Amino acid sequence: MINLTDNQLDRYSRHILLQEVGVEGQEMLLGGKILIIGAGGLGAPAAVYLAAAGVGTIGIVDNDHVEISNLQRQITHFTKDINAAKVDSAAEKMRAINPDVKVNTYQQYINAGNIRELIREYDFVIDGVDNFPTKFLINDACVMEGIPFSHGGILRFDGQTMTVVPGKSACYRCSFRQPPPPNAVPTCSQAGVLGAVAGMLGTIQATEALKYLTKTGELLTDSLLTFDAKKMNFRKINLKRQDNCPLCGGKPSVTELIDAPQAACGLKTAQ
Amino acid sequence: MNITKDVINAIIDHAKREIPYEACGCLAEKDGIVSHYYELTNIDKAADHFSMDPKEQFAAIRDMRGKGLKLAGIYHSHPETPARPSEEDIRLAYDPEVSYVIVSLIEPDCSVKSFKIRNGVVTMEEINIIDHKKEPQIKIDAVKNCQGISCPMNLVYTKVELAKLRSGQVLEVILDDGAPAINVPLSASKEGHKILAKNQLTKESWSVLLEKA
Repeated sequence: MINLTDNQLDRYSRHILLQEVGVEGQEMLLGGKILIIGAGGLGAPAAVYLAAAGVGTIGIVDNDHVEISNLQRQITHFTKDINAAKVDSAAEKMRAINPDVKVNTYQQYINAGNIRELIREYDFVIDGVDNFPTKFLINDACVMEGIPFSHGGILRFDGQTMTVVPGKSACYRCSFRQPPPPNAVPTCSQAGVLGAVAGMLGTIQATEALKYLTKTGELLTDSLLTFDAKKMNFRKINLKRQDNCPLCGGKPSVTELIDAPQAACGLKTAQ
Repeated sequence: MNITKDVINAIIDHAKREIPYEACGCLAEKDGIVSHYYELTNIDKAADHFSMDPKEQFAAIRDMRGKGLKLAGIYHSHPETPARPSEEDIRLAYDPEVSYVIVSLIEPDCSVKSFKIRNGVVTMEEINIIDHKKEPQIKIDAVKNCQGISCPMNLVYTKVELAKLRSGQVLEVILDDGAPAINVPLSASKEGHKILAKNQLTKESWSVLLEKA
């Protein structure tokens, strides 16, 4: 069962030293498959840490190309990558940091028609998208497919995240019933975001994914973690599964995926 | 030179069997511990000098290669003189890297000494006898030599070896004196593994027996 090379023992020594991870945990990581949806502010730091950690297969989905305004926080993209497909730019950095990792790139928009098939190939999903309709779409698809995921969002100096294990813990819809009306909430490109806040949140999501794969600790389930980086206040709000949840409750009304209307935002999105 | 008690006993036994002639042979090591010996024919059949049979010598080297062993030394006996290299021994010592081990049979307890011979200069070296049978009730399932491997990689390698064992099996780890000999067993025991024995082998090294949790 042990087939780590000496080179891998050196590379992953700081994982192996952890009692909770050890050789077995590292092997679980090498056998693990994680899908990152969005190669932006959250997806970029998550992608780097998951690749560095030796997660065996990482999929990354994004249809966009790198713009200069992304570089302030989307750390997989370098100045030379402007105009390159974000998934290619991110994949290049993941492979550079760890050649052990198999990176699958999907340069496409995620929608009701393709998401279920895509996530089915993976053990855990990271929501790194920048808009509410897609966040609900990821939640709904993951609950329907029974695939755990980490929700995450950032705005200005604030971040929020929760982990959902379908059928076991509260889903995103248990607390947030439906997307806000288009244009009701500013996206980052309208509101701005402190670059490092993206790293704070994306790395929390990566940590949840690593905990899930190694079966370590307690996941951020049935709770919403929020922080205000301006005062550096962190808060954990307890959540519960709701029997009247339109998705995972006793009488669900959301039984199939639909593409909700997106905000007609004049600016290019950023997450 | 680290050498197992079994090998020491075997070469003394060989020396006694060859009386009145000198006995000779090769010693082989793995991970810094001499654990194998090869009895060779003294084609001189003399009481005061020896020549190893070249054919047997080549066969021994081939066998070592096949087992992943390294030539560590040449041994021979002095049936009637003390355990120190004769002028002939010094003259014929062609390899400065190997140890020249001499078994003297003039004393009742048969003294065994080891020397390095470099450009005709003889240096005696310490012989550290490793006795795996000191803990007769403990069966060792695997051995990992972590000498020369610093913290924390020695613990990484120890954990890798433990992961290969089943619960209750025993791993012997050889560790450098100092922080490694203190920290590795301590860390392993914090993870639930049991320290069955800890013995200083040499000034620089320790043997630790760990039972997997």
